[in-house]
Amino acid sequence: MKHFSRFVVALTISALTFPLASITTAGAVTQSPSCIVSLSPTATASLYAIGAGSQVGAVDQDSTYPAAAAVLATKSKINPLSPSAEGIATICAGNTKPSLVVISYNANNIEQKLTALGVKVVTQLAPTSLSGALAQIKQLGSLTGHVSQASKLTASMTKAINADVASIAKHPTKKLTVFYEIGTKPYYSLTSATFIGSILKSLGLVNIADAVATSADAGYPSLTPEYVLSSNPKMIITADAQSASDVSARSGFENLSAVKAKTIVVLNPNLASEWGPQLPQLVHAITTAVKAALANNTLWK
Amino acid sequence: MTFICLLLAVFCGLVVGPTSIGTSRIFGSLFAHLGIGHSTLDTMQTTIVWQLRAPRLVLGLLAGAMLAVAGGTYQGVFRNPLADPYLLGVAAGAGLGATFAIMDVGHAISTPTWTPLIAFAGAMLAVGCTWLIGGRGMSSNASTLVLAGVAVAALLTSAQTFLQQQASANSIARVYIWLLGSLASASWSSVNLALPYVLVCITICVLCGQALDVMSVGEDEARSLGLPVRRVRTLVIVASSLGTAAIVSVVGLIGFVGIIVPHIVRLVVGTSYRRILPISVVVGAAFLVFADTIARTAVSPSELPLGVITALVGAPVFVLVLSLRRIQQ
Repeated sequence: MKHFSRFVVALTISALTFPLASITTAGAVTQSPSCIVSLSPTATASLYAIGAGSQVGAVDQDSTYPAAAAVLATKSKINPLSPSAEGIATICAGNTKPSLVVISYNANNIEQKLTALGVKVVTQLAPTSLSGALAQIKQLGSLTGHVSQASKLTASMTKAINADVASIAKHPTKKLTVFYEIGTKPYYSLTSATFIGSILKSLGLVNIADAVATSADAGYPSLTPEYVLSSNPKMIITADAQSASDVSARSGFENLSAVKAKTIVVLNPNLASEWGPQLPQLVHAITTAVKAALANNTLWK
Repeated sequence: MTFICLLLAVFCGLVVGPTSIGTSRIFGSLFAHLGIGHSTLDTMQTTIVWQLRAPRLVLGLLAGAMLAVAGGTYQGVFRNPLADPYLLGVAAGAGLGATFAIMDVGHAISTPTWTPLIAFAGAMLAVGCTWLIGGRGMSSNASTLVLAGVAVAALLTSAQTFLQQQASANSIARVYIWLLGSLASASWSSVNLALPYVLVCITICVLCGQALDVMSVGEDEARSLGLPVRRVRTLVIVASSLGTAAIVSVVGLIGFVGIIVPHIVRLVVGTSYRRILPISVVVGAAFLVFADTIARTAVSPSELPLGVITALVGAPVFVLVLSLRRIQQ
C-alpha cells in the first residue's frame, strides 16, 4: 500500500502554474536556481537526468531515484502529503529560502503559502499523455538552465518508446485483454484515459477497466473481484508490490487465463508511479511482456 | 494559572517554529502593529509570523475553545460523561459534505475552496435530521436525541463510505487528509469564516452554565424550579452544534479536545458548569495551540496531523482522569 499511496500522491488536481518571471520571453533563464527543492519523485529524477542534480538542495521522502536523491531524501525528511511551508522556506544552506520548489501535489496549500513567502513554485501534475510528460522535462530544463540536456533526454526517450511500440506486430485477431492493478483491497485500476492507460492502448492492449469507468473516478476506478474474474483478463500487470504468486493465490484467480498462462507482469512500483526519465524502461518492460503474451500458446488455444 | 497557560500557548504559537526568529523581534513587530516602535523583521520573517503563524494561532485558539466548550455543554445537557461535540452527527455530516465537495459530485461544485461551506452545510443538515428524528426537537428528551444522533451519524457515515467507494484514489487521499484534521491550511480568510459563529456560540454556551447546573439535578426538578428546560436545551444544543460545525468545516475533524478538556477542568474546579465552561474555553484553546505547535515542529519540514497529536495526548490523559476519579470515589 505504500507504493499505492505514493501513486496517489502523484495524481494531482491543482492548477498548473508556471513562473514566467524567471524566464525571458525567449525562454532563456535570467538566473539559474542555486537551491531547488523537489517534492515530486518524477521531477527529482528528471532534474538529475538533465544535469541539474548539483542544484537540488532537498527532496521529498519518496524521491528515491537516483541514488544521490535517495541520500538527500533521507537527510531532508519531507513528507509530500504534509509539508511545512515554514520548514521548506528555510531548508537550504544557511537557512535561506529555495530559489525554486517543484511540487506534484498541493498539500496544506503549500503552493500559496510558499508563494506568499516569495518562493517560486512550479506544479507538475501527472500528465495524461507522453507529450505532457516530455513537456515537463523541457520545462525543468528551461527553469534550471539545462535546455539542451533536457532536449537531448526527451529526444532519446521518444526514440526508445517509439521503437518499443513499433516492435509489436499488429495482432487484430488476438484480443489481449489486461487488468492493470495499482492497488488492492479494493482493486484499483486505471483506464485508457490516463497516461499509463494510453501507453497500454498504444501497445494494442484492451483494458478491462475502460468498461466500468465513470466521471467520478477520474480514470482510476475500483473494480470488484467478481468483475475482474468475469472479465477473465489475458494479462495482469501489477504495480502495487504484489508478487506473481500473491496474485495467483487470490480466491478464484486460479481460473483466469492470465494465471493459467502465467502472463502476470510484476512492475517495479517506483518505476510505474513516475513519468520521468525512467519511462522508456517502464514501456520496455510492458512491451516485453506483451510480446511474450502474444507468443504464449496457452493463451490462444 | 489557566490564563498563564493560555499566554504561554500564544507565546509558543507565535515564537516557536522551524524558522528561528528572535522573540524580541517578533514582539517588536507585534507592538509595531499596535503603533508602538518599528518592526525589525524582514519581509520573509514578517510573512512567516503574520501570514503563517498568526492565523494558525488564532484558528487554533478558536477551534480549541469551541470544541472544549461544546463538549462541556453536551456533557451537561445530556448528563452523559462520554458526550463530545460530534454526538449529534456533526462530524459525520461535515465528513459527508467535505467528501461531496472534494469528489466534485455532479460537477456542480468544481473547486475545493467550497469544501468548508459544504462541510458546514452537511454538519447542520445532520444536526437538523437528528433534531427531527429524535422526537421533533422541542418535545424530545435527551436520551432520544443521543440515540437519533447515533443513527444519523451511522447513516451519513455509510453515505460517505459509499461516495468514497465511487471516488478516484486521488479524491480518497484528499478526503482522508481532511478527516485527520489540521491547521496547516489556516489563513485569515478561514479565521474570518469561523470567527463570528464561534464567538457568538461560545458566549451563549458559557452564559447557559448556570442553567446547566440547575438541570444537573434532573429535568423534572429543574422544571419545578421554574427553568424552561426544553428551551435551554434547544439553545445550548443549537449553539454548540453551530459553533462545532463552523470549526470542523475549516479545520477538519479533531478528536479528544471536546471530551478530555471538560473532564480535566471538572477534576480541578468541581462540577459546576458556571466554572467548567469558561475555564474549558481557556484550557481548550491553550491545549490545541500546544498540540499544533508540536504538530508543526516535531517533524519539520513535514507536519503531523493535528488529530494524531490530540488523540495521542488525549487518550492517555483521558484514561488517567478516569483512574483518578475512581480513586476519588
